[in-house]
Amino acid sequence: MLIAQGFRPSRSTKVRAVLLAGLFIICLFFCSFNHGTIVSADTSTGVLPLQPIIDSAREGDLITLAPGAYSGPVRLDKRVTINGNGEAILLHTAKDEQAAVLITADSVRLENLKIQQNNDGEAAAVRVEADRVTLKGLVIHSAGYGILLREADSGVISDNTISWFIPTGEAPGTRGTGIDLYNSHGAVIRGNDIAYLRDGIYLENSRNTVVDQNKLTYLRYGVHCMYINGSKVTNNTGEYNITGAMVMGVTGVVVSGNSFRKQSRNVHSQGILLYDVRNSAIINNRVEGNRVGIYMQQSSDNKLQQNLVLRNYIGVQFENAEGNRFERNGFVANVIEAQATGSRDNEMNGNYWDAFGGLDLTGDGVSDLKYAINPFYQQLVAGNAAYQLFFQSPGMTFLSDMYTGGSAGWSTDSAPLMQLEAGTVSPDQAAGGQGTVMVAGWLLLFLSVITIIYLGVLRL
Amino acid sequence: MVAMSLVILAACGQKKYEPVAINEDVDICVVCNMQVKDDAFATQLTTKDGKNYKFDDIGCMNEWKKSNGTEQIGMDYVRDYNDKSWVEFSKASYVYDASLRTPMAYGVISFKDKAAAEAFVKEQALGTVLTAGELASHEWKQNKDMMNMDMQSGEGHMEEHSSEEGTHSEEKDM
Amino acid sequence: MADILHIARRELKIGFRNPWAYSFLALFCTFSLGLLLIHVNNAVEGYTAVTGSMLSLILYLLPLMTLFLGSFSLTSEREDGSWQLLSTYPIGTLSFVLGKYTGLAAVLLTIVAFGYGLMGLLSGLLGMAFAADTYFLFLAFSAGLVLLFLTLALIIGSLSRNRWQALTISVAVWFFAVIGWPTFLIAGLGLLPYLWIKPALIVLTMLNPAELVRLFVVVKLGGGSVLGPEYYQWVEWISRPGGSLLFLGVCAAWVLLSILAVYWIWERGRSRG
Repeated sequence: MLIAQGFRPSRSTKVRAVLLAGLFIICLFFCSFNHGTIVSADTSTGVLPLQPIIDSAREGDLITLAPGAYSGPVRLDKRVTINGNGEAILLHTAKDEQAAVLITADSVRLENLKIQQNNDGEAAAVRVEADRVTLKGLVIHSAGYGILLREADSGVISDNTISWFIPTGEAPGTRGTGIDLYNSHGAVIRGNDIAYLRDGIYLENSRNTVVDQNKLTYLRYGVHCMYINGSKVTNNTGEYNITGAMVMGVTGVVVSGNSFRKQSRNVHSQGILLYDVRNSAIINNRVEGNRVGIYMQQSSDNKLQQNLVLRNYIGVQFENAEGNRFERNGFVANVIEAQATGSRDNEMNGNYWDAFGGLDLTGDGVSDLKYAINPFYQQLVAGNAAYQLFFQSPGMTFLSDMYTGGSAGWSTDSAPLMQLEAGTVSPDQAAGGQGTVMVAGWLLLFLSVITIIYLGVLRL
Repeated sequence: MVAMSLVILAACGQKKYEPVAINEDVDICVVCNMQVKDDAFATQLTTKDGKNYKFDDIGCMNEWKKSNGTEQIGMDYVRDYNDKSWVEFSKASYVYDASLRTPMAYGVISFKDKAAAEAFVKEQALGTVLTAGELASHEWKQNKDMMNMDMQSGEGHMEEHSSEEGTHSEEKDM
Repeated sequence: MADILHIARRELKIGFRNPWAYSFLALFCTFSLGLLLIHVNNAVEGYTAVTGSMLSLILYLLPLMTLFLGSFSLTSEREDGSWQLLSTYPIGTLSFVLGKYTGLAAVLLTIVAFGYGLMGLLSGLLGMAFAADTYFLFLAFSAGLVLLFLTLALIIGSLSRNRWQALTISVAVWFFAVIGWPTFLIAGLGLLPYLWIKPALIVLTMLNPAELVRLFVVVKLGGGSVLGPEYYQWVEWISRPGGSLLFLGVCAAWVLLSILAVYWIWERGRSRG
């Protein structure tokens, strides 16, 4: 299988095989069809340094690592492909700030390799300083950063698993970022699974990046992007992060098809945060069970359409957001659906608000009553955060309802929908424990009825 | 009149605006919503009625001052880049360079005295030393675009321009 | 002890022959089932609009019910002359007060149990997703609300001369504690310097059983983060198992102090009368 890959006629690469067996080290050269290198290390011989293997490879080589442990750090300064077949592991245990793998040559491919990087802080498992590098199928455990791209354009980072760990016998270090891009344009980041780090994917000054189908859990911010005009954040899923997607200082970005759920533990948790976002499209996302579903601040001229806002404490929150189109979004079972202050000239239209008792006289499925967002609570807590203690207190609802000052300036949905567009919400899964509740219900009912009959009706 | 101003003076004299420790669990930048890390970039100010605001970047604090004014500020603090000690904003020295990475990319860092700032500039061989007074006329440009001039950069500049205009118009509203 | 049980038993009998108890039972069942049916397609789990509106409904209904039944029970003792009769027996005032409290609590908790029993049963029959921990949390929340407001009811009943006075005061207390609370507090606290507002708010919240119990449930439902950065340490504390104990302690202190107050009022009345 290994050899077969090297023999592929489309590649003019040389495949060389090094085989270590038992205590003996045997190097076998397969020179048939005049190319080929397979590097193989037997685990029983301990850890094999990887750098000499790379040094002996030539430009364009495919190096297939046999199962076993290899030691880093390594520097890839020529165009090679390294494939670990999922069974080779690169260990970087030495105490230094170097990355386990440093890539300085264009078009390097690193595939199916496990990497363990024991240094915390700024130390990374893979650091890329070259263009068109492919990192695929890596399984990274890092005490610091996962993958760093610096001035590295058009990288492809796909199907990697990156998580933070505490090396045995050491104090937990500082969590770094999973995939961190700085000034690296046009990268494709797809299908990665990132957990327990600081930020999952951090993009700064990196335009036209595609962040697609990544799974982001237990992080500070799932996707955190600043100044990345023209990028796309699509089809990612995030759970249990402080914030799912933190989008800041961008123009012309697409955030669509993402699902951010259960971001509710932190006092500043959100599904999606948009700050200083312009001319962007936030479409078709699902935010569920977050503290705040979508929080938009200082942002203008965006399209927010067909998002599903489910079971959040606060559905959406607008602050100084102007000139946005907010249409055909669905709000279901949020404790408070929307809050808006200082947000004028937004076009709100055709959203479904389940807590709103609309009235449809014309029968066109659109309420003839408008839905206005009462800004009272948000104004109150902006003045003094201590009043957040009154969140959804019955008296607070009462007070908000009485407050109608300047209601002409409130953000208002002029044509709220009467029904949620079909097929947008999947029915809730059974929460489990239904049986318990029913049994408990029977028991309580039985006990109370007996008590009432015995003491009230029988008049003993 | 004299008595009144004396009372006010006495009141001001009594009040001390101590810097508050950063708590990474709950502190976010009042302006940009990002978590305030307990690092050298964190800044804070306390208003005269005791409200404390924290920022993740000196630039964000500057934004707050632009929209809320400075009359209500009791004391504002920045941190020394080297030992993270809190320094009064007006007494600190600053270094600006577009290539310095700060959380919101304003590229301004703070030092407890001029010597430390100059030492940094000398060591890094980049940056300009500024006083707090000179910061007032600083343009506070965010580095959203690195110097390498690829084909995108022209477009990038235009977008940057329009976004800056947007920010200004909003400030008028607030 | 025998005296307490005797009085509690008597209270239970009177309580279940009181048509008021059944009208409240019917009201409670109607509203909670109605709410359940509205949200039949939503899971009852965590802090959402479903649990939020259930919380509000219970906060409206249970305190009012408790205040009425509790205070009327005490005023009727006076109005019927049964207290005068009881005073001639060698029954201690404390036994009387504790017996009243226990008996009334049992009546009210039976009503609550009936309502929740029906709710649990129906949600099961309808195949609704009702998480068990949420269900028991709500049960505990309602019980706590009843037990705390019952002490207030006894104080009102002790201070009122007759049923009508008790009714008036009950409605006033209910309105103040449940509906008007934020309005009064925001208006009052606005006069304080900024730095005093938060401590004052915390102390006052401890004094209002409706808010105290509501916040506890919101935190236990996992919604504590919505209270913001000012309270995150409190929220973290209460979220832990030890937090429940702390909450129980505060409630117990509340009940004990109020019962002592009631005892003091009746003892004073007895020595004068």
